[in-house]
Amino acid sequence: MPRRILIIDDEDDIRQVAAMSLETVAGWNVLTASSGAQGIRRAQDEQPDAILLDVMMPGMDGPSTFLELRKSRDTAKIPVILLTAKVQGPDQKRFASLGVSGVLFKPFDPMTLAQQMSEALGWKIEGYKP
Amino acid sequence: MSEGQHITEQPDLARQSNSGAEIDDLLQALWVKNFPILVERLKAIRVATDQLIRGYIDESARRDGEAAAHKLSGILGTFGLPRGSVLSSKIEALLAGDVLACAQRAAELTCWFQELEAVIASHR
Repeated sequence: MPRRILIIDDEDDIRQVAAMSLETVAGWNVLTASSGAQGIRRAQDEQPDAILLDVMMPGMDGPSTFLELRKSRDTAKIPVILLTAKVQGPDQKRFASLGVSGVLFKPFDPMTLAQQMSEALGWKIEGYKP
Repeated sequence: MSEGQHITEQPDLARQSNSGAEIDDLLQALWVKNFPILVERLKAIRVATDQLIRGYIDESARRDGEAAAHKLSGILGTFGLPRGSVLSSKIEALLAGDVLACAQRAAELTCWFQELEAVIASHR
């Protein structure tokens, strides 16, 4: 059964490229949401295997969305990977302290995004050759 | 970091062997589809740049330019334009600074913006 991944990002192009990458390279099923609030609802309804969550979004940003996901019993155990263009040291420490499963950086390589996510989540993909 | 799950999967190997070419084709299609968005972001940076050249940038233009540069820095490398991401990051950092400092660096911003336009145009 293919993995089901929820991508939460306010930018259409990032969502489209990340979804295409995960579907094409890894064969995962991808759900998308364009805001933190919408993402929380989709996570509650769809129970994805993991969430790829943008950090900088208008309204509820990535870290706030993550904390809301952790508050709900329905979504508290869904692993979350943050996706960010911010690479400064203080940001990295702040993100790591949240308790997310990993932090990936934009711009990402569409050929290796699934592999990076798998490594962060401890998922093993046999025969994966980007 | 929390501990993830450890599960072995057997993906379709035939699909994977073709995924490089498939990804390239799909990326190109998404580039074309999203090109109007990229152009809008360039316009926002151009407005900020033009105002700086004239000696003053209003807060709205600065903020819009910074946001547009941030978004471009996050996507251009994914489309195979790493130089575009680097230039966008420089523009974002400059526009994130105080207005006076930005005004003093208008020439630098202009150079970066012109190169960014050329990088994006070269990919069409």
